[in-house]
Amino acid sequence: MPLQAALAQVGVAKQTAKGTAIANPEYAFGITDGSILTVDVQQEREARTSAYLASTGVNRTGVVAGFDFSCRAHAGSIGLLSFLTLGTDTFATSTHTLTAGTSVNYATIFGKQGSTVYALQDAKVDSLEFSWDGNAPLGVKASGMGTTVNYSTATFTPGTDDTYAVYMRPAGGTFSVDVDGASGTAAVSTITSGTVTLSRNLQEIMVSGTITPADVFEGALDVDVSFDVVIDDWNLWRTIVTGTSAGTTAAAAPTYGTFSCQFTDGTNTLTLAGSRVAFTADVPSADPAGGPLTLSLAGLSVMPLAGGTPFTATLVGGKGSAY
Amino acid sequence: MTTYTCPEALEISTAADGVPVLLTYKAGSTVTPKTEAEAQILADLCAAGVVSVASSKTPKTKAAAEETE
Repeated sequence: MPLQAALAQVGVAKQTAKGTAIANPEYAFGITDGSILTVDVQQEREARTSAYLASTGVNRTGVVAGFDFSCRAHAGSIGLLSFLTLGTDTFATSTHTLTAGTSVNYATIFGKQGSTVYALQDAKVDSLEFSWDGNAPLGVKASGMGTTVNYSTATFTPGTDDTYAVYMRPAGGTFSVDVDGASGTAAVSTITSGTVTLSRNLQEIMVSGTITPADVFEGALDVDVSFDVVIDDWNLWRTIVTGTSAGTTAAAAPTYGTFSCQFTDGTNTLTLAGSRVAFTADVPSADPAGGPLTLSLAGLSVMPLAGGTPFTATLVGGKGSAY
Repeated sequence: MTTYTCPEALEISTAADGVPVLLTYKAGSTVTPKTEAEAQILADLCAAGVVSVASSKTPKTKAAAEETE
């Protein structure tokens, strides 16, 4: 009898140290796409001459395990995934302020398919992407790598099972993008869809003698955003190109703006925000079929002038203490 | 060196070289960051309105210090 594809859950738990896998997930949830575990077996044909016109064998150089799945943003688990990506969580009363740290924590990632459970230890998040379209549920795509997999004795008893929990949606939230911050051009709230991507530029460290990574190591945090905005005039585009809405020449330096996107799930909210974002935008395409002109903004969110986090996620709800 | 006032109790979870670090501040306390990483976290929280600046002293340059003397 074939294995059932729909009986799948993923779990996440923060480790207290590298090399110390956690026995069970702190949070578990279902996925909307992807797999419960990724294992990249790196091998290629031996390139050596012989008396035959064929390869003499195959060289295996690495087995790198990771995770790559899409899911919903449940208040509890999205807080942990965001924390593992960014590095710092400040908890006060019921609010988590998640910001970029100088290091990130290791995690154990669990994958359960039917009755089979695998657990990946010493994992870090490489990329966390939030995306939405209209009022469809907020989508989350998480990927990363770890060191070794427990293929045989992993267990799956989550502390909090978000599998049947509600999840963040755009409806009832607030959305704003301002291409020049506090300067002349007003912020707009006519965002129809968007993507916010956090990338940790993770690298595996392969040492001679061991086929799996000795460690996975994060790099600088890159924050990329894109928003589709319905426009009433050319002010946004002209401000991006010239520096002001009435500008007449291309600006030599970028104009920095801001964004803030808040999603809700009942009393819980998740706000994604950047305070210094350099936007670009192509001239919107004309369309013989007609319809509202939509500007597709692409932005690079960077540190404030005085230094600090390039991105802040504010979560109201979720865990009752710091992640 | 900037010190910060915490209007409410704060629990901060972060990492140093991949090892979890937990900082706790009491409500109404004045915090002087002990490390550069802690200073960065508090500056971010100040920008987010979670804490406020209690005092800020800019280190004097040698010339300014001599002038004061």
